[in-house]
Amino acid sequence: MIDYARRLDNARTRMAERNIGLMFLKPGANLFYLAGIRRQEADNTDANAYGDWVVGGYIGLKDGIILTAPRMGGAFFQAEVEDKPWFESVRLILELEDPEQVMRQVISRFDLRGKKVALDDRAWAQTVLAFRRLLPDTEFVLASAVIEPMRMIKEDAAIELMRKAGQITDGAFQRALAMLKPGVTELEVAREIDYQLKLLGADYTSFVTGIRFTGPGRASPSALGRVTERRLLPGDSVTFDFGCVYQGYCSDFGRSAFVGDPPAEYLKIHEIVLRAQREAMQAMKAGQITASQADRIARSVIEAEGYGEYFTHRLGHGIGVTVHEEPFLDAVNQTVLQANMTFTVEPSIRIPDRFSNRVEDVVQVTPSGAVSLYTTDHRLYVID
Amino acid sequence: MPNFYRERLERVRQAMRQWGADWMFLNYGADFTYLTGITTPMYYPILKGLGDWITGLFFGLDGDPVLFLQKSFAINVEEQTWIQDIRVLPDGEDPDAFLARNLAVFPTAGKTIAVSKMLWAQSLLSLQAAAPGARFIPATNEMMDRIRAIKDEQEIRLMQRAAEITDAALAATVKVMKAGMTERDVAIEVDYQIRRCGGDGYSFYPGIICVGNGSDPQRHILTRNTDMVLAPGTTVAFDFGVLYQGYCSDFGRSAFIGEPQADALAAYRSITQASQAAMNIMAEGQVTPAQIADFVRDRVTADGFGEWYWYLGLGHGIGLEVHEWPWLRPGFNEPVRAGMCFTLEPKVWKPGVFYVRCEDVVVVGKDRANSLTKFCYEPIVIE
Repeated sequence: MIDYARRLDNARTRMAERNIGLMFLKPGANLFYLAGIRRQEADNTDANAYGDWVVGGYIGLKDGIILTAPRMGGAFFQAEVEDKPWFESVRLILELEDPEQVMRQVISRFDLRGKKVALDDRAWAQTVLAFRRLLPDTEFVLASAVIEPMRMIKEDAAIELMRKAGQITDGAFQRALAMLKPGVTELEVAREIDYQLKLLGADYTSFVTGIRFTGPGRASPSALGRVTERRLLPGDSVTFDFGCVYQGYCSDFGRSAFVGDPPAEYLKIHEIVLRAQREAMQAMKAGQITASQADRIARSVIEAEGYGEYFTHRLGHGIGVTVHEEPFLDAVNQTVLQANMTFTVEPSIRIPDRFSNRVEDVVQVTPSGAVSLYTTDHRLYVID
Repeated sequence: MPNFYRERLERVRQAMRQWGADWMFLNYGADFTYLTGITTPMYYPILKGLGDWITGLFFGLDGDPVLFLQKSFAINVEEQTWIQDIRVLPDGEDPDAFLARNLAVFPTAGKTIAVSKMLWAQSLLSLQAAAPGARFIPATNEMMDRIRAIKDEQEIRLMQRAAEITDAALAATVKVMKAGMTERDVAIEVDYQIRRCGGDGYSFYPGIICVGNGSDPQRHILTRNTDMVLAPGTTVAFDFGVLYQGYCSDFGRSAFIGEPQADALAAYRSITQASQAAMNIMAEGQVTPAQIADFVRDRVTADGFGEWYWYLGLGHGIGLEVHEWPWLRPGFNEPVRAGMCFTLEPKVWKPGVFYVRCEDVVVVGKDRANSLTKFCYEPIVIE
């Protein structure tokens, strides 16, 4: 069980250390992390509910949390706080009120004399500007200073949820494998994965499911993983990139398959990618390596084999309540890895019009190296 | 490239003059798509990486707009937009310094910069550092509502296409629907068919609501996609929309499992007829949103379903966002104008017994509104 009271306590200590009297978090990852308000299934559009720009959790050093909510859709927030005694109240914003007056009323509950106010990094500009109007002499800082370091180190309970997300992911993967026969489309496989993830208990997907069939002479679609209606052909390599959210915690997973007898070069590529992942994970010992050093280790393996130009992205990223979070395993990040940080480790070799190969696990950093939270076999899945 | 974007830019500039803004900075979202033609990348909400906060469109009251992009958003962007001045954050440059040096050439000191309502706090702080001495105001709904409420020819075409895909997705779903499936099964099928039929995705996650045959009367119609099984005697309401090149549909019909109950059938006839009748009165300048909402409620009440009509509003504006100004409900008293797009979504809900809804996207014209969605109004009966 996630101990929200403890997280809030920790956050308030950090607020006090930084002379922050009030922290505003809009509905989203940080409010979920600190107070358990769940995020709803992602829309591609915003809902323009009345007063939406003052909606969020107002957290004081001693007072709060006061949660404001729009009347339209407010029932969701009222239900969410029912089992959460760390919320003081829910304040619905009605269409006949001025939202800024609601914000003024809520803010007046907190003693902000001589104190700073911390704002969610992705709070809306309209919200920020209203805060500035209501508190013209106050210094504003970003909430990430308080919360980001907390989110980087996962409690055992959080790791368990991420492990469970991985189990659901594996279940969907096994079903997807069963579908891989010549003639199936990328979209059909993606749909089955999305369906299975929900059926097996996921909240929803953690990002848009990516299935890619790559074959000789077939132009690859542009980057960033949109699935197409391309049909699977013998000789295609197949890469998977998908994940789910389980009780707010994310998975992000990948494996590779090949239809027919894999040529020697492809087998070699698969082995190189796995070795890159393995060596990086072995080196990721708590306190002993930086994020960029981990990236360098995996990249060196691939470069030494002559495929460096086909590994075009960072090695991985932090993951937790969001699928991408600090720290990033990239060429520049100097963060020293600590125990119970969780990362994706996802090297790949992608040769357009010929082969694609990738692997991705979420790993937990320990004193003796990083261990995967996932149990799915890393072998190349060969489809007859 | 067509000059729709230039015309839209001029309309926005007019609003800026009215609201006292000299400059505008927009991040990905509806206003951004409206002015650039670039739809929000699907990774934007979850992307987190160095420099992602400098991404945005910047322009003044004249001259050419400038597009600031983080690298991963710049792939193939020239093909997607009429904007010529595209500046990509170089590898290794501090993002805040990049924004500062680019903004330094524009006279912003003592001026007012309007920013997207939903621009990230992190972006705003970076902009404020990059343009010290500027005053910032949000490009509120009030500033942008009336501009985007009137759709131009290109927008109507895109919404028409979104509507066609919507109709096709329902038709394909209905073909495979059977008694014994769950609400969730159907929702997932709709999601799949939306993409199969050419949509970029859903505009909001499809909602399937099954009521009747002893179902829990306490269960609210806002609870969707549960494990409830579609059983004989139940109604199944669809509420879903398609996203196509940034434009949204929002649509619904009702299906009946097995022999429809007489009451439910009659209620469905009532709402579908009232909806079609409403389109006849939705002529430019002749009627207000509040009046349109009242008109439909009165008709359905006259048919005997007043007690179960849900309940005040009839629908909402729609375009690049699912919910746009104005809403079809009491309090919205400005006459409608040609080019406005609305949903008409009357509903009759008898808890535990039946729930029927229909929903169409319609465009106001000189003499009447026309529906972009064309799925038939006959009850969909599933054996």
